[in-house]
Amino acid sequence: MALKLTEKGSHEAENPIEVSLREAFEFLKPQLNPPFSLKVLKEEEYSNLNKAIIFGILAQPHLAEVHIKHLHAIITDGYGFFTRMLIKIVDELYVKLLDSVKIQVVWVAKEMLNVLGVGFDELLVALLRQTVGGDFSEGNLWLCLEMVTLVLANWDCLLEEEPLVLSKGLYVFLRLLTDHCRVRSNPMIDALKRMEVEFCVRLLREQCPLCLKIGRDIIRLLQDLVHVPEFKAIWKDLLLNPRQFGVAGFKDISQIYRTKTPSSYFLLRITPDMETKLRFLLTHVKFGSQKRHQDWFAKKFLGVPESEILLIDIVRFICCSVHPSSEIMQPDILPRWAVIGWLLKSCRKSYIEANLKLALFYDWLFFDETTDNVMSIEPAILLMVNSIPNHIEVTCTLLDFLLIMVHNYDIERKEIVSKGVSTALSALVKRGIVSSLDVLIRCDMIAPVLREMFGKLVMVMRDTHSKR
Amino acid sequence: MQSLKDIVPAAENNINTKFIVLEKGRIALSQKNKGRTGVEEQQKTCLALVADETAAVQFQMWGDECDAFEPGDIIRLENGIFSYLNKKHVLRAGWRGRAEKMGEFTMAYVEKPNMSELPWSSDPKTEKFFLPTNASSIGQSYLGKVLSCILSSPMIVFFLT
Repeated sequence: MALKLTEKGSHEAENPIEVSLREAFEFLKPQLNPPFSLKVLKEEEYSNLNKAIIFGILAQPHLAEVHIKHLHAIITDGYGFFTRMLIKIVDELYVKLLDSVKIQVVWVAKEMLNVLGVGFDELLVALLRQTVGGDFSEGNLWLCLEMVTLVLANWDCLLEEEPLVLSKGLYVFLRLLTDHCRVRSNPMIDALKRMEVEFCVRLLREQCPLCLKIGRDIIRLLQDLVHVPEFKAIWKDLLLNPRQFGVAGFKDISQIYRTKTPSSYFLLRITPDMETKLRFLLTHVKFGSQKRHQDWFAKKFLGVPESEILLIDIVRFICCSVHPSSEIMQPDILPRWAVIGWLLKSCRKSYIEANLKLALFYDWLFFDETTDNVMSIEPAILLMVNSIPNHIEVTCTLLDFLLIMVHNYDIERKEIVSKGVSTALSALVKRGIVSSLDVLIRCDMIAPVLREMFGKLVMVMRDTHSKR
Repeated sequence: MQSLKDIVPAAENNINTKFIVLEKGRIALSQKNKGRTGVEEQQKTCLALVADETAAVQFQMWGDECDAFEPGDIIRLENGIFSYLNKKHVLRAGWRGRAEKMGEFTMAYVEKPNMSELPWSSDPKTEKFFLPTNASSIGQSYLGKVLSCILSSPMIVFFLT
């Protein structure tokens, strides 16, 4: 039987990556057994031999040690081609890979870390991206466990060589912990949870500057874990004793609020497959004809109740990582606010809905014109305005939520949030995203008390921004 | 690779195209037919609505195709046939053709025109190709019929090329 990497349906075309790897393997098979030839290879020969070895390692686990020795002997580019190819396999094929191949992928990723192969950090991040939120299948939990074991076991090496892998790991594991802390305990999840907590707490306590690189979203993620004792303690120190973290100049949590989270972090909780589909939805699907594509997306990624947690990550991704430059040029394409409206309506659980709204408004709360991008706050205002009058309940619930956040998100630092929101409103009008806020203030379908509170906020905005 | 708007009914396996499955009908059992081996057999069939950026058409799935393809799947059809079957013009792989899933989701589509709903009729001159007629052409002379077809339909592309 022919060796293979993926499980293929009866009427499914072969994947071109797998075909090219297998072809290289079949062609070079006689050269893959010792004694290995050490002659200098031309560029094409070199990449073909790399491909053949990758295929051998992945499809012949019992010969993996032989293949990897061969690889070490022939390598002349610091493993650059080899890791690039592996990243491609992980990004495009991971879900379809046979279980035995997945085990090999993780094994060879560890090998690349051991030899510090060029691009090993990206390979680890690619694998982190494959851990799926809200997925309690054995395969997914296995990958989570493998990855957290890997980062803990290689702590010093990662810290020295590629510390950003640890920051990214923190973002991923904090998010996964919200899943793993919510389910009924079982031995596998308990062990996983313990290691994830150990990793996150250690990084937060020992390497706080690395954690602060995540920016304000780290607070959003920590909020979901406040009920876990280890994180409760961290919260206490964050609020009452920030010097405990030993970061020079770090005196108050508001310093974290002010740091915008780099957009690469939002990709970490969206698999490449999801990313491709969401980007397609937002660039190729016509507004008004989106229903089928939305249904297909929901069926694939949001099929089980636990996967609802993904909605939060998707909203954050859409707001902060998908900034269509030519939106005005394509008025008939499905806009971001409409997709978020659909996601909001897909929420069944109230805590997910609240977290989704927070994800939508998060950059409003700390908006700073000099560092923040107006495109990150644009979907929320457009969703509110465009939901009048047919989906007025959406407008009301969002406006209500925004006002609650202004007054309650951080009572000790109310003026920061209030300033953030009023700066956001001012930026939206100034940049012409909405021509005026009157459409909300004067809409009699919105409860008078909400309009009045919102009106006050707008007055503050006009006052502060006209003085400037 | 042909666009769906350019397919024309013919008794030939000459259609190479790519489309996305929009909807699947109920899976049913076909009437007994003589299969490839010459033995009478019953096969599963399922009618699906498929489309690309230019048009939609009904696609007849056959055998295990019925379970292999789902809405949202992008399918490449090689050597397919577009012909009259069970009182409808449907596209299918047929014995000589092959349909394969090559992706999912990332394809835009339109639902009109639906090539299966166009009023195709045979060209009495060649008896090989079919021409779409429209309601106004009923009762017209043959020449008028052809002219109105040329002016009113995507067939104009066919005549010019």
